[in-house]
Amino acid sequence: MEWVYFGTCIAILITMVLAVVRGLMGPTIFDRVLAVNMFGTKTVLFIAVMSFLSGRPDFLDLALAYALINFIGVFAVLLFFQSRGVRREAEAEREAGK
Amino acid sequence: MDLLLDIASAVLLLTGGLLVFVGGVGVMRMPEFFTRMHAASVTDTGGAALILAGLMLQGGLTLVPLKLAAIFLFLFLTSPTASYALANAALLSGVATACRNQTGKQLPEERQDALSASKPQTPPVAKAPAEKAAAKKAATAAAPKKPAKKAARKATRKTAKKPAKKAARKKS
Repeated sequence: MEWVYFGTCIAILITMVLAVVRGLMGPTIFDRVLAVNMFGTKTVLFIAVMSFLSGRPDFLDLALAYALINFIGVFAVLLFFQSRGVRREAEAEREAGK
Repeated sequence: MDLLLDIASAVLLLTGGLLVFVGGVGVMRMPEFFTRMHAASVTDTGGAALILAGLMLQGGLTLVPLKLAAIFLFLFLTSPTASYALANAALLSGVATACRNQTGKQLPEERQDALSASKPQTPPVAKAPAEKAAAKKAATAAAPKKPAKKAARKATRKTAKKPAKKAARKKS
Protein backbone atom coordinates (compact mmCIF):
# COMPACT_ATOMS: atom_id res chain seq x y z
CA MET A 1 0.00 0.00 0.00
CA GLU A 2 2.97 2.29 0.59
CA TRP A 3 3.76 2.74 -3.07
CA VAL A 4 0.22 3.98 -3.74
CA TYR A 5 0.63 6.67 -1.10
CA PHE A 6 4.03 7.45 -2.51
CA GLY A 7 2.73 7.81 -6.06
CA THR A 8 -0.08 10.06 -4.95
CA CYS A 9 2.38 12.17 -2.97
CA ILE A 10 4.60 12.54 -6.03
CA ALA A 11 1.64 13.59 -8.20
CA ILE A 12 0.54 16.18 -5.64
CA LEU A 13 4.09 17.48 -5.28
CA ILE A 14 4.49 17.90 -9.04
CA THR A 15 1.21 19.80 -9.15
CA MET A 16 2.37 22.02 -6.29
CA VAL A 17 5.55 22.84 -8.19
CA LEU A 18 3.52 23.64 -11.32
CA ALA A 19 1.23 25.87 -9.26
CA VAL A 20 4.23 27.74 -7.85
CA VAL A 21 5.62 28.24 -11.35
CA ARG A 22 2.27 29.58 -12.54
CA GLY A 23 2.13 31.86 -9.52
CA LEU A 24 5.57 33.23 -10.29
CA MET A 25 5.00 33.80 -14.00
CA GLY A 26 1.23 34.43 -14.00
CA PRO A 27 0.52 37.54 -16.06
CA THR A 28 -2.35 38.87 -13.94
CA ILE A 29 -2.79 39.08 -10.21
CA PHE A 30 -5.69 36.63 -10.44
CA ASP A 31 -3.47 33.96 -11.91
CA ARG A 32 -1.32 34.32 -8.84
CA VAL A 33 -4.31 34.09 -6.50
CA LEU A 34 -5.52 31.04 -8.38
CA ALA A 35 -2.10 29.43 -8.03
CA VAL A 36 -1.97 30.20 -4.30
CA ASN A 37 -5.45 28.77 -3.80
CA MET A 38 -4.51 25.63 -5.69
CA PHE A 39 -1.28 25.32 -3.73
CA GLY A 40 -3.22 25.53 -0.47
CA THR A 41 -5.72 22.86 -1.50
CA LYS A 42 -2.88 20.60 -2.59
CA THR A 43 -1.17 21.21 0.75
CA VAL A 44 -4.25 19.88 2.53
CA LEU A 45 -4.30 16.78 0.34
CA PHE A 46 -0.57 16.31 0.69
CA ILE A 47 -0.68 16.42 4.48
CA ALA A 48 -3.58 13.96 4.48
CA VAL A 49 -1.71 11.49 2.27
CA MET A 50 1.54 12.04 4.18
CA SER A 51 -0.16 11.23 7.47
CA PHE A 52 -1.13 7.84 6.08
CA LEU A 53 2.29 7.30 4.54
CA SER A 54 4.05 7.92 7.84
CA GLY A 55 1.34 6.15 9.85
CA ARG A 56 0.45 9.13 12.02
CA PRO A 57 -3.20 10.09 11.42
CA ASP A 58 -2.89 12.98 13.90
CA PHE A 59 -1.62 15.07 11.02
CA LEU A 60 -5.18 15.26 9.70
CA ASP A 61 -5.90 18.01 12.22
CA LEU A 62 -3.11 20.03 10.64
CA ALA A 63 -4.70 19.46 7.23
CA LEU A 64 -7.99 20.83 8.51
CA ALA A 65 -6.24 23.88 9.94
CA TYR A 66 -4.48 24.46 6.62
CA ALA A 67 -7.79 24.31 4.78
CA LEU A 68 -9.21 27.00 7.05
CA ILE A 69 -6.16 29.26 6.69
CA ASN A 70 -6.14 28.88 2.93
CA PHE A 71 -9.78 29.86 2.58
CA ILE A 72 -9.44 32.94 4.77
CA GLY A 73 -6.25 34.01 3.01
CA VAL A 74 -7.71 33.77 -0.49
CA PHE A 75 -10.75 35.75 0.56
CA ALA A 76 -8.70 38.48 2.18
CA VAL A 77 -6.62 38.95 -0.97
CA LEU A 78 -9.66 38.85 -3.24
CA LEU A 79 -11.61 41.41 -1.25
CA PHE A 80 -8.63 43.69 -1.64
CA PHE A 81 -8.29 43.24 -5.38
CA GLN A 82 -11.95 42.95 -6.35
CA SER A 83 -12.69 46.66 -6.27
CA ARG A 84 -9.45 47.68 -7.92
CA GLY A 85 -10.79 47.39 -11.45
CA VAL A 86 -13.90 49.39 -10.60
CA ARG A 87 -11.78 52.09 -9.00
CA ARG A 88 -9.50 52.29 -12.02
CA GLU A 89 -12.44 52.49 -14.38
CA ALA A 90 -13.88 55.38 -12.39
CA GLU A 91 -10.52 57.13 -12.48
CA ALA A 92 -10.25 56.68 -16.25
CA GLU A 93 -13.75 58.06 -16.69
CA ARG A 94 -12.95 61.06 -14.55
CA GLU A 95 -9.83 61.74 -16.62
CA ALA A 96 -11.72 61.30 -19.87
CA GLY A 97 -14.36 63.75 -18.69
CA LYS A 98 -11.80 66.44 -17.97
CA MET B 1 -12.10 -8.28 2.27
CA ASP B 2 -8.98 -6.44 3.28
CA LEU B 3 -7.46 -6.98 -0.13
CA LEU B 4 -10.62 -5.73 -1.82
CA LEU B 5 -10.56 -2.59 0.32
CA ASP B 6 -6.88 -2.06 -0.51
CA ILE B 7 -7.51 -2.41 -4.23
CA ALA B 8 -10.46 -0.02 -4.18
CA SER B 9 -8.46 2.46 -2.15
CA ALA B 10 -5.47 2.17 -4.48
CA VAL B 11 -7.64 2.74 -7.54
CA LEU B 12 -9.25 5.80 -5.96
CA LEU B 13 -5.92 7.25 -4.83
CA LEU B 14 -4.15 6.72 -8.14
CA THR B 15 -7.06 8.13 -10.13
CA GLY B 16 -7.12 11.13 -7.82
CA GLY B 17 -3.38 11.58 -8.23
CA LEU B 18 -3.78 11.43 -12.01
CA LEU B 19 -6.53 14.06 -11.93
CA VAL B 20 -4.42 16.30 -9.72
CA PHE B 21 -1.48 15.99 -12.08
CA VAL B 22 -3.66 16.68 -15.14
CA GLY B 23 -5.06 19.77 -13.48
CA GLY B 24 -1.56 21.01 -12.64
CA VAL B 25 -0.43 20.60 -16.23
CA GLY B 26 -3.59 22.39 -17.37
CA VAL B 27 -2.91 25.33 -15.08
CA MET B 28 0.56 25.60 -16.58
CA ARG B 29 -0.41 25.29 -20.22
CA MET B 30 -3.84 26.86 -20.69
CA PRO B 31 -3.79 30.10 -22.69
CA GLU B 32 -5.83 32.52 -20.56
CA PHE B 33 -7.14 33.03 -17.06
CA PHE B 34 -10.61 31.50 -17.21
CA THR B 35 -9.42 28.35 -18.93
CA ARG B 36 -6.75 28.07 -16.24
CA MET B 37 -9.47 28.29 -13.62
CA HIS B 38 -11.26 25.46 -15.34
CA ALA B 39 -8.12 23.31 -15.10
CA ALA B 40 -7.67 24.20 -11.43
CA SER B 41 -11.25 23.22 -10.66
CA VAL B 42 -10.48 19.70 -11.89
CA THR B 43 -7.94 19.28 -9.10
CA ASP B 44 -10.23 20.89 -6.55
CA THR B 45 -13.21 18.64 -7.22
CA GLY B 46 -12.17 15.36 -8.79
CA GLY B 47 -8.69 15.09 -7.34
CA ALA B 48 -9.58 16.07 -3.79
CA ALA B 49 -12.74 13.93 -3.69
CA LEU B 50 -11.04 10.79 -5.01
CA ILE B 51 -7.95 11.09 -2.82
CA LEU B 52 -9.94 11.75 0.35
CA ALA B 53 -12.33 8.88 -0.47
CA GLY B 54 -9.38 6.57 -1.01
CA LEU B 55 -7.88 7.57 2.33
CA MET B 56 -11.25 7.14 4.04
CA LEU B 57 -11.34 3.49 2.98
CA GLN B 58 -7.96 2.98 4.68
CA GLY B 59 -8.95 4.62 7.94
CA GLY B 60 -10.82 1.71 9.48
CA LEU B 61 -13.27 2.14 12.32
CA THR B 62 -11.57 5.04 14.07
CA LEU B 63 -11.89 8.78 14.22
CA VAL B 64 -9.79 9.10 11.07
CA PRO B 65 -12.58 8.75 8.47
CA LEU B 66 -14.58 11.30 10.41
CA LYS B 67 -11.73 13.80 10.25
CA LEU B 68 -11.33 13.09 6.56
CA ALA B 69 -15.04 13.62 6.08
CA ALA B 70 -14.72 16.97 7.87
CA ILE B 71 -11.88 17.98 5.53
CA PHE B 72 -13.92 16.79 2.57
CA LEU B 73 -16.99 18.76 3.64
CA PHE B 74 -14.98 21.87 4.36
CA LEU B 75 -13.06 21.68 1.10
CA PHE B 76 -16.27 21.24 -0.85
CA LEU B 77 -17.90 24.22 0.82
CA THR B 78 -14.96 26.59 0.47
CA SER B 79 -13.53 25.65 -2.91
CA PRO B 80 -16.57 26.67 -5.01
CA THR B 81 -16.92 29.82 -2.93
CA ALA B 82 -13.32 30.78 -3.52
CA SER B 83 -13.62 29.95 -7.22
CA TYR B 84 -16.73 32.08 -7.53
CA ALA B 85 -15.11 35.00 -5.73
CA LEU B 86 -12.00 34.70 -7.88
CA ALA B 87 -13.94 34.61 -11.17
CA ASN B 88 -16.16 37.45 -10.02
CA ALA B 89 -13.21 39.60 -9.02
CA ALA B 90 -11.44 38.86 -12.30
CA LEU B 91 -14.52 39.71 -14.35
CA LEU B 92 -15.17 42.91 -12.41
CA SER B 93 -11.61 44.13 -12.63
CA GLY B 94 -11.39 43.52 -16.35
CA VAL B 95 -9.30 40.42 -16.95
CA ALA B 96 -11.79 39.57 -19.68
CA THR B 97 -11.24 43.00 -21.18
CA ALA B 98 -7.53 42.45 -20.97
CA CYS B 99 -7.93 39.22 -22.87
CA ARG B 100 -9.93 41.03 -25.53
CA ASN B 101 -7.24 43.67 -25.84
CA GLN B 102 -4.53 41.08 -25.88
CA THR B 103 -6.14 39.03 -28.63
CA GLY B 104 -8.17 41.64 -30.47
CA LYS B 105 -5.30 43.89 -31.42
CA GLN B 106 -3.87 41.41 -33.87
CA LEU B 107 -5.12 39.99 -37.12
CA PRO B 108 -7.16 36.79 -36.92
CA GLU B 109 -4.51 34.45 -38.28
CA GLU B 110 -1.92 35.97 -36.01
CA ARG B 111 -4.28 35.66 -33.10
CA GLN B 112 -4.39 31.92 -33.49
CA ASP B 113 -0.66 31.90 -32.90
CA ALA B 114 -1.01 34.17 -29.89
CA LEU B 115 -3.63 31.88 -28.39
CA SER B 116 -1.64 28.73 -28.94
CA ALA B 117 1.60 30.25 -27.74
CA SER B 118 0.10 30.44 -24.21
CA LYS B 119 2.37 33.32 -23.37
CA PRO B 120 0.79 36.76 -23.04
CA GLN B 121 3.23 39.40 -24.20
CA THR B 122 2.58 42.05 -21.56
CA PRO B 123 0.87 42.19 -18.21
CA PRO B 124 -2.53 43.23 -19.55
CA VAL B 125 -4.25 44.51 -16.40
CA ALA B 126 -1.89 47.41 -15.92
CA LYS B 127 -2.54 48.48 -19.48
CA ALA B 128 -6.31 48.21 -19.41
CA PRO B 129 -7.40 51.65 -18.12
CA ALA B 130 -5.35 53.62 -20.63
CA GLU B 131 -6.68 51.50 -23.47
CA LYS B 132 -10.23 51.94 -22.23
CA ALA B 133 -9.82 55.70 -22.19
CA ALA B 134 -8.33 55.60 -25.67
CA ALA B 135 -11.20 53.43 -26.87
CA LYS B 136 -13.72 55.89 -25.45
CA LYS B 137 -12.05 58.78 -27.25
CA ALA B 138 -12.03 56.75 -30.45
CA ALA B 139 -15.70 55.94 -30.00
CA THR B 140 -16.62 59.60 -29.76
CA ALA B 141 -14.44 60.48 -32.74
CA ALA B 142 -15.24 57.66 -35.13
CA ALA B 143 -18.47 56.06 -34.02
CA PRO B 144 -19.40 53.98 -37.09
CA LYS B 145 -15.96 52.44 -37.42
CA LYS B 146 -15.86 50.70 -34.09
CA PRO B 147 -18.96 48.47 -34.15
CA ALA B 148 -17.93 46.99 -37.48
CA LYS B 149 -14.55 46.15 -36.05
CA LYS B 150 -16.12 44.62 -33.00
CA ALA B 151 -18.54 42.53 -35.05
CA ALA B 152 -15.68 41.21 -37.16
CA ARG B 153 -13.83 40.39 -34.01
CA LYS B 154 -16.81 38.57 -32.60
CA ALA B 155 -17.29 36.53 -35.74
CA THR B 156 -13.73 35.28 -35.67
CA ARG B 157 -13.66 34.57 -32.00
CA LYS B 158 -15.23 31.30 -31.01
CA THR B 159 -13.24 30.06 -28.04
CA ALA B 160 -13.32 33.09 -25.77
CA LYS B 161 -16.96 33.45 -24.81
CA LYS B 162 -16.61 35.49 -21.65
CA PRO B 163 -14.94 38.50 -23.23
CA ALA B 164 -17.70 38.51 -25.85
CA LYS B 165 -20.34 38.55 -23.14
CA LYS B 166 -18.63 41.36 -21.36
CA ALA B 167 -18.25 43.37 -24.54
CA ALA B 168 -21.94 42.93 -25.27
CA ARG B 169 -22.84 44.06 -21.79
CA LYS B 170 -20.61 47.09 -22.02
CA LYS B 171 -22.09 48.17 -25.31
CA SER B 172 -25.65 48.10 -24.03
